[in-house]
Amino acid sequence: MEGKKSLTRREFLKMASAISAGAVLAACAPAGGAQQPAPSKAEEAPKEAPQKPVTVRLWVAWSNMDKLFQNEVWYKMPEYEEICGNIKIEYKGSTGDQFVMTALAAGDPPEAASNISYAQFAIKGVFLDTQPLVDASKYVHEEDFIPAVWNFCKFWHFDGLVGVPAFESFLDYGLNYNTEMVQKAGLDPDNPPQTFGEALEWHKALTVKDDAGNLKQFGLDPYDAMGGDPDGMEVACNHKYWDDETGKFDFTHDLFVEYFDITKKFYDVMGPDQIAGLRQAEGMGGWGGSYNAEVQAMIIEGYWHPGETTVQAPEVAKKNRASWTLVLDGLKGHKIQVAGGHTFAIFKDSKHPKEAFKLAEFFLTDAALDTLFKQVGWIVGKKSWVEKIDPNTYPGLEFYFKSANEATDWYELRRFPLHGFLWDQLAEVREMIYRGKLTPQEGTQELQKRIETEWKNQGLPMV
Amino acid sequence: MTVFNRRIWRLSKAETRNQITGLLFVSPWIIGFLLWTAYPLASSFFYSFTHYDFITQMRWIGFRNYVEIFTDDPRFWTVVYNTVYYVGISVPLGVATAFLMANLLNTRLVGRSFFRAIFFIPSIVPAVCSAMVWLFIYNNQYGVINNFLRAMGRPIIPFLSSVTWSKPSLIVISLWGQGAAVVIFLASLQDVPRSLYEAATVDGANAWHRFWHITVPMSSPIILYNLVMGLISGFQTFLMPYLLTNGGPMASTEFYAMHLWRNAFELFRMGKACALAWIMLITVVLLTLLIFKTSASWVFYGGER
Repeated sequence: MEGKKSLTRREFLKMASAISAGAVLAACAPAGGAQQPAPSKAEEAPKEAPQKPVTVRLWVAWSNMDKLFQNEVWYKMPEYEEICGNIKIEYKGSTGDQFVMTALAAGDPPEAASNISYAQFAIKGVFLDTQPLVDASKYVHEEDFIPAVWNFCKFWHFDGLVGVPAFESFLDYGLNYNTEMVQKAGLDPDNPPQTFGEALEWHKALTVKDDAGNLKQFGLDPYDAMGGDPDGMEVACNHKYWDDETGKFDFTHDLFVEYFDITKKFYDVMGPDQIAGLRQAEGMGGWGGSYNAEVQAMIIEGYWHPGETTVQAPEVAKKNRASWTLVLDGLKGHKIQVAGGHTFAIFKDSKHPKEAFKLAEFFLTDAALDTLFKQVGWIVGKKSWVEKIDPNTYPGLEFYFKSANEATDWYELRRFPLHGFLWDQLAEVREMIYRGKLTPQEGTQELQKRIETEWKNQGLPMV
Repeated sequence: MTVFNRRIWRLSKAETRNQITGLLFVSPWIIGFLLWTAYPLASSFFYSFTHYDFITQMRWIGFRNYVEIFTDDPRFWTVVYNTVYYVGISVPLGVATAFLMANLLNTRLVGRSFFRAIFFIPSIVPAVCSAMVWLFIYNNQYGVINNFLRAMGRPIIPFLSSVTWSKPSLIVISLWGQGAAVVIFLASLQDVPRSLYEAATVDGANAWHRFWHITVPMSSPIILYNLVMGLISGFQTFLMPYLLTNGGPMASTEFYAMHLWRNAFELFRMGKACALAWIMLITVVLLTLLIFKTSASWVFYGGER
């Protein structure tokens, strides 16, 4: 081969440009599959064509399941093979609303997500209605679920089902208390408080300060109920601030005024700066940490509390007992329970929504539920499976099982389309109340004003 | 202008080739700038006049986001107050601290290099790690300061959980990370001609006089630089309060950038968040211009203006 051996700069640039342009065009071209000749009829026959693996992306805000997915425990189960077969899971933990929202904006949402602001997304119509898929399913049947758990998947302004109950969706409210700390304070652990008034007396007996007035131990942080969830307010008052049927909200009810008034007294006993310090700072949570450290004697939490405490602080878990969540004094006798919690929500504009539903079906098999319960401590309110669980697996768990049959009033949480905004604003308003900047009545009015303004400014449907 | 045009139009082939080659070499930066800076900047300006939540149809709403921010946002004036308080104290204090530390490190101190490294280290520690360290320092129960106070039988100081203490506590943290400013000041101090100090000493000036009449004026351009940079980063303060207090207690550490972030990624109000961003940009630009305007009276450029 004789020829030019050198390359001029101009020639180099021309070649480089041509190669770059070619690369860009190749990258923009349709996927290789589209260029393939049409398959013959023989090739289309299902027996001969091996199923192409389909990737289903699942994003959840928890990190508790990370190990299960990292170890790929699901793929080893025959149930997975039967239902999901060719589905590969691309799992991401610790992915909150921001991640999902960004993916939606980019037009490439994951197939499914859990532990996101369901109501906030539902109102924007991003979910697939799974009702038709449920109707056709041989694995998932509505009648097999505790009604309130199932109903959690229905949201205002969304026709149908946002998903199906999944991962962690059972009973969310109970007063857990440390029997040893209670006994040491001279209280009777067999006769736990039922109302906030009674709990305040326990709180005073359980709160300990040193000679300099520094808080060493306390009874109950009422706003830490369910990690500070605003819905604790309606559970305590047995009164909904948000009506799923009418789409109306009201935070100014006298019961809420009473709620702020009584809960403020808990902070008066502890000192606002001191209790916030035990949670490090207001709004940071610290949910359960102080209970596990035996600094907090009572905590309002869901069914997972006994199991998670057993994993995190086994010695403390042995002393744990649970009872009905607290209500206002005038509501004594009401046994309130809250159901639901999480759903396997499927995005309608994702690439493989139907395959995602298959995955949801798998996660509701007894085998998958067993694994979640044993390795994470989570329960889904599927009646036929729940009946098989030993309610004494963890100290305190039995209460939640019994409560399912004994509750007089039921709630479903996180229904409000501005739930995230409310959470943020409520944290500030109730702090203004217990720090004496607002009266309880002014606090409820302030909250109402803020929510009304945001509702209007977000352009949410007016009813 | 004529000269410029003639030069452009009369480029030789070799010069044209060189121009093209040069442009090709810088094109990654130009394309990157256009795609990742200019376009987002322009689009955020556009979005600030819309109701945009990422998902539903964007709607043009004119100045409504801006009007809402100033008249109908329950937290806007709180975050403005918090931010002005924080920037107003932490930035001048930070610049002063960095300048004084640089002066200290510029003396003939034993182990000077060691101290320079020590002061710089906080600047390169990831913010999350710094936040964790400060959480341990400030913690009410087991923090080093409060543990000491408890041991002495004294009331603890609720650094991050009291409305009174929360902002000053964050300001102290901001002072801790002044290593980069210290290094810049050190470089400028080493450029101050020794002859000026010698002459002043001969004229009978004491240490304070030398510092005030030589060191400060000669370092004033760098003071200006650090002040402006501090102002810009001060207005963008997000990570430390987000990690340490999440804006509490009682929204006392909710700063502007955090409010903007909440609107964008918690409330999905991208249009309003863009409007907030533009208000911040304009404010920072105006304050920077103000500082530059006043700099003529306090920045010494060696006789130049």
